[in-house]
Amino acid sequence: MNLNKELPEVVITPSRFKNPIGKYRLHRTNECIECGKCLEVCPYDVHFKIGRVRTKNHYRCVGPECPNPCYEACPVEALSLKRNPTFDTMGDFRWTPDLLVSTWYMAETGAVPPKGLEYRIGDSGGGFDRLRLILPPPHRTKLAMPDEEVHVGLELNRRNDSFPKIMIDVPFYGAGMSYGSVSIITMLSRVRAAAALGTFSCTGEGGYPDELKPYDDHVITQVATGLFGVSEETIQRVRIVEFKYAQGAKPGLGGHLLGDKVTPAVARMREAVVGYPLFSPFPFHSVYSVEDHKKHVDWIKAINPNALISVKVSTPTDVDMVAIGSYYAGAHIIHLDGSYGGTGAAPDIAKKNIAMPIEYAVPIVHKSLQKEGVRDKITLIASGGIRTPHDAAKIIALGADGVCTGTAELVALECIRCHNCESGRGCARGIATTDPALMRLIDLNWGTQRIINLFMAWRKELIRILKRLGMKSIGELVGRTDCLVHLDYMNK
Amino acid sequence: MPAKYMIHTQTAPNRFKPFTKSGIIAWTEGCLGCRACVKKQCVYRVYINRGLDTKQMIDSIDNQCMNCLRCVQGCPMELIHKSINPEYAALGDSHWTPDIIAQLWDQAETGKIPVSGSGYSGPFSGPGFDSMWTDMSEIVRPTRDGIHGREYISTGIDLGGTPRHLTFTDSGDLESDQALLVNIPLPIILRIPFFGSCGKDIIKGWAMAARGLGTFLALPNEMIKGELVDFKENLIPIISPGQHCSGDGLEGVRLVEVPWEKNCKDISQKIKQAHPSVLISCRTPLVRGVEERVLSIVDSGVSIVCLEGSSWGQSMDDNSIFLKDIIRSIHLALVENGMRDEVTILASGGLAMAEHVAKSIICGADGVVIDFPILIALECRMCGRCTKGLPCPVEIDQAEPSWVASRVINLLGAWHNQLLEVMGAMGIRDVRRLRGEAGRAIFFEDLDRNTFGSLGKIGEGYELE
Amino acid sequence: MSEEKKLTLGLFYCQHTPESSELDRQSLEEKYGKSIRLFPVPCSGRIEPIHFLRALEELTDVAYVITCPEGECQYFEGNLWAKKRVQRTKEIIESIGLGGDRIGIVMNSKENPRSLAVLADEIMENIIHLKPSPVLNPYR
Repeated sequence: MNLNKELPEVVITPSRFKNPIGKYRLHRTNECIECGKCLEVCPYDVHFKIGRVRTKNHYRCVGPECPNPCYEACPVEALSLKRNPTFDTMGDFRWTPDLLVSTWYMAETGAVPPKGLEYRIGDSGGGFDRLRLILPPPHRTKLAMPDEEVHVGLELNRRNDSFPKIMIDVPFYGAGMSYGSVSIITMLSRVRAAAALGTFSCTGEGGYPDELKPYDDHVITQVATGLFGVSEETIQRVRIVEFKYAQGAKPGLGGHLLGDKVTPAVARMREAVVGYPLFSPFPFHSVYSVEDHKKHVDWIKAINPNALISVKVSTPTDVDMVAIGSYYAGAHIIHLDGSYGGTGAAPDIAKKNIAMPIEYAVPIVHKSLQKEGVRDKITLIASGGIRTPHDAAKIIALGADGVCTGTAELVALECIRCHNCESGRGCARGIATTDPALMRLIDLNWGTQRIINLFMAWRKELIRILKRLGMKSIGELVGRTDCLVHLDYMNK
Repeated sequence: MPAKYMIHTQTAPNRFKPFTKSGIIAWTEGCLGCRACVKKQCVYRVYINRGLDTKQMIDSIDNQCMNCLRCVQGCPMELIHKSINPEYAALGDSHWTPDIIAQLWDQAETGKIPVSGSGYSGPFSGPGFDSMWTDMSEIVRPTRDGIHGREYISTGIDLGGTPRHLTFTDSGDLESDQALLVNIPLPIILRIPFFGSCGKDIIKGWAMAARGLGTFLALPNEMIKGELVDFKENLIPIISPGQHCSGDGLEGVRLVEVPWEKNCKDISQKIKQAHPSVLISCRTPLVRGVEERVLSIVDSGVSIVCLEGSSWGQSMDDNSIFLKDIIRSIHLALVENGMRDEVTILASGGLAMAEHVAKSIICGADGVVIDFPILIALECRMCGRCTKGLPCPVEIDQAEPSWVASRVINLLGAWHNQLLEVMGAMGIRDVRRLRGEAGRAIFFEDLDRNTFGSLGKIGEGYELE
Repeated sequence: MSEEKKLTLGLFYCQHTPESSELDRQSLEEKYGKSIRLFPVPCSGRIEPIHFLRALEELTDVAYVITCPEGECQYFEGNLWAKKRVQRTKEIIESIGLGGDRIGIVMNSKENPRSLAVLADEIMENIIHLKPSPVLNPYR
């Protein structure tokens, strides 16, 4: 049986900027005799000839790993290769320049980069970046199995209650990003890509813009502490409602939208005043116990008896109790947001120090749900620092059922992690902004396709990993810690 | 409830342009002179407002650039690039990192807590305080909105000890002495760093800051003269080792620091006799066996112990032992001996960020003493030139006392707010309740091994990816 | 007074110059005192005529730049452009009668790379005959 519905097409979607940034740069001196040898040998279309022989697509160059280096083939030594200094000014420990550029590559081509870039891990020195998947020797794997037979979909309602079953076709969906913190074009790109892939994207807590209406079936609307833009109507429109108790990047602190970003449109959506900063408090002022929490869940269920309930929490020391409590309160999905997750703006002290990274929280919650005997009745979603398909595979092996993506989607839209989403007019690259002029830097079709391509690359990579592991479905990987090794404890 | 403690900050501009992490390199050779040049389209207008600071040869485009790279990616001739700035990379050392220094400058200038967009960008964990995370309360919790103000979170601590038990006379009157306590509204005391070109004006500025904040500045006793005498209420004279002190000149002082040495017991006795209302703090370096020493100091009746770590936040004689671990073991030793409330424990050495204050307290300190941050607040680059007799590149000694005071008040205003953030997230309303709450912290060593320690078996022929 | 009149050098150097760490820089400052001002730059090609002119106006009597060896520039041609810019700037200051030898460029060699200290000594040696600059702002 072909379990996967029709998939969207990958369409090559290059950078919207003239000069995409790569790891290497090539230089052509005046010695060049235009013999075209470089075009001939290069496997990656770095050079081209329109009139003259030129070098343009530096970003595709894989550097010293190239099997056929042009700079060696050049008969007059007119070509030379150097690492691009600009590349090294980008990114950080978690999102290394390698990860940024390889995510751009996936968003352009729908495939992982061929060579020259580390696209699987970052450089944080712990957690995902020290974990490795253990793959059996190739002759013992099911590489011959067609991709169609590997099932990467995920059932979100496992309670066997009166609520509908909802199957997503990939083991990930889009995390909440509010209208106001990102542009409407970014929001639409995300939800249209999610619809194409047969999954969901979350509105965040800034209200539910009308533009999303055609995609209602793929929208998760968020009920967060500020209750911005939440109404009975928005709750009744969707198939999944998410309670946001806390956000990994700023656990226990609530949200903060700076006044600059509260444009007339944002203010209307949030029922607020233009130019004034908006605080979303912490916590829900109507929830001070698990019983209160149950009342909340019941309230949503009464308003929309067909919507699944997701509960998004961050990762304190008692995260296991919170998860179990959420199950008993009636949630279908428990969504853990680890402390290294994304945000539109948060105090640095909170991002770094408050609550634990997702790599610790998932195994704790997975095991305690098992002990409680309810693990197979609830869907466990992980987020907060899932940057690559490998991160996704690792966290699933640690006990999650699926993941939420956030920053990775923004990087597909060419976010460069300059960390200035919150200041002034917002994102200079037009992603996390409400400034009309900056918003226009992104074309909706371009944005949608970039995210589709990224997701298709993730999907393909996850299927490849499952096949290497000899598994036929993503569900088989859940909790398989024997498929993982941590380099710090290897052979000790 | 006491009046709400607020630190009023106001911008105190840098005197020197700060170094930035990266710089722009823009060639003019080969420029086509496009009418819609990317430089004209810069969102932050950095090319339009360009200027050169000749004092340090810093180009203003670097200070204003926000790293969006749109010019780099837009120039049709690819003439614009970015590069790591070697001046920035050379700041400080592996503990006082360029990023920490730059963030301290920024807080001292603006008084605001560092806020940024997108997720955390640093390493997973690190040595010392970087190997712990603080807790938060998800649903069941008492406090909220620390910073934004609806509920009061106290950051005040009492310096001094309380007696183990009270004694009464036969007639039922209280026999024991009233506990001698001094309250500071912020669990942070300032101390003069052991290097830095700090003249009279700088010290006066720091004393003004200590007064403005309601806390103390610790400095060598012999420095307290002239104008500084007026600030005695907010100064902690440090008695140098071996210095004879009978308590002269301590009138008007509330707290005095003596170094740990053989005869420190006698010195403190003498001071106590001459000035019964002066609190005595004993400073001890963190060395092997310091737990025993702290117990004996407390036993001798000293009610404040200041723990002195290296300026890199480590033990003085073993750089593999970090402040956080020693504070924990001293705290636990005191608890086990039933003596914890007889003493105020202050931690010092290498405390560089607001989070270090919260984490020191969670590990078991009552408060902290900071030194280099009050120097870095004055734009110090931790280059150490002053220790070699070279001129200070940012002419710290030329700074006005009022500017010095504002910078330090700004810095601590930002730290105070960050402490509130951490406590607010934990649902703790009084910093005294934070002390020793190790159960509300997450320690890398324990958790990492518990989670991943068993993930290490690989079969024959298996591959890692 | 004679101390005041000591010739001063503003020296920009490519960050890839051998032995040019912050500590090396400080030892040179100890050696030459106020006679030298050192500025590491990400690329020698970053120095534009304006840097030289402003340096001569407000900072030092002489300004030099040290570049990485030919072919080594991380930006491919930065050091070559630095060379042209120095030439151009020399012409400018000669045209105002200041003497072109107040600015200069030293390109390190690939075969025998010299350290910052050695290069600084060489440059100092080179300029020792110059007189203090008449245009340097005395109130700087």
